[in-house]
Amino acid sequence: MYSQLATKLAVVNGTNQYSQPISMAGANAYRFSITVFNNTATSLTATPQGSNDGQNWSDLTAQSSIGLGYTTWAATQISHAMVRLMYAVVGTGTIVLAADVYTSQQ
Amino acid sequence: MGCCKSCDEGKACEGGKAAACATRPDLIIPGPDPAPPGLIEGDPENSGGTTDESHPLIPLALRPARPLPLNDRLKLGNGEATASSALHLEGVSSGSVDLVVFVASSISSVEAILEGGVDGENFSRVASMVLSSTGFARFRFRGIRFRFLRMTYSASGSPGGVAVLATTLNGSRN
Repeated sequence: MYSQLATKLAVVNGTNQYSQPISMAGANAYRFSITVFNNTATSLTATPQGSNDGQNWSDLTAQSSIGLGYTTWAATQISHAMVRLMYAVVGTGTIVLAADVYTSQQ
Repeated sequence: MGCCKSCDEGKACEGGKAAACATRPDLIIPGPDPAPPGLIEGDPENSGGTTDESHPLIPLALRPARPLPLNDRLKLGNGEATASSALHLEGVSSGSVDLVVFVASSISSVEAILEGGVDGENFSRVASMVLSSTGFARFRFRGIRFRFLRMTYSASGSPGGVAVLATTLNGSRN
């Protein structure tokens, strides 16, 4: 299932941001994509997080050093009921981005 | 009512004393289109403006007088921060946030921040509270003009510290 997580999210260093949770709904793989429109910082680290109760979240494998433009990455063997994305800015500045996710059964 | 006795009786007019005389008494002359039921002029909710407060990824709604448990066992470690799912507001412009901290082991403070947003992506601070011990606390908000709300949390203390808390949102129209 495809979901648009953000279309114009501004992330400032020191204040991590979080997407809305996405149900895995029987899927066990995901592919996240991020497009960075503007970057006045060093880079962006995007950390997928998994949860079963929708309250407590565990970090999954992060994608770091995301710069301007398009970045995509995928993971399989996901056993959480839902996932979300945490955005953290590295360096001082602001990053404006769009993000989406595609979950599937592998 | 017609212009003469014949008109009143629904028969041929006796002389056409008035322009309206030619009308049959049972004929209803249509006036301007009546307003659709429930339409209040100038009310954006009933005048073609969007009434859809939902968001494809934000299914939860906060409604007046319907307390909404946001979490009931949220764990925060020392130095950790997290955010709740966002929820959209349905007729709510004020309310309160109820927090219960069950455990605060080696945690000196838990900051709970209520944030508002309009696009479901970007949020800004509405109100906040810092809790420094276990127990119940409440803070209120009013006059908000946001479409969505969420809570963010952070905890600070000693290495290995843990806090567990629950949050309930209460909304009202005031």
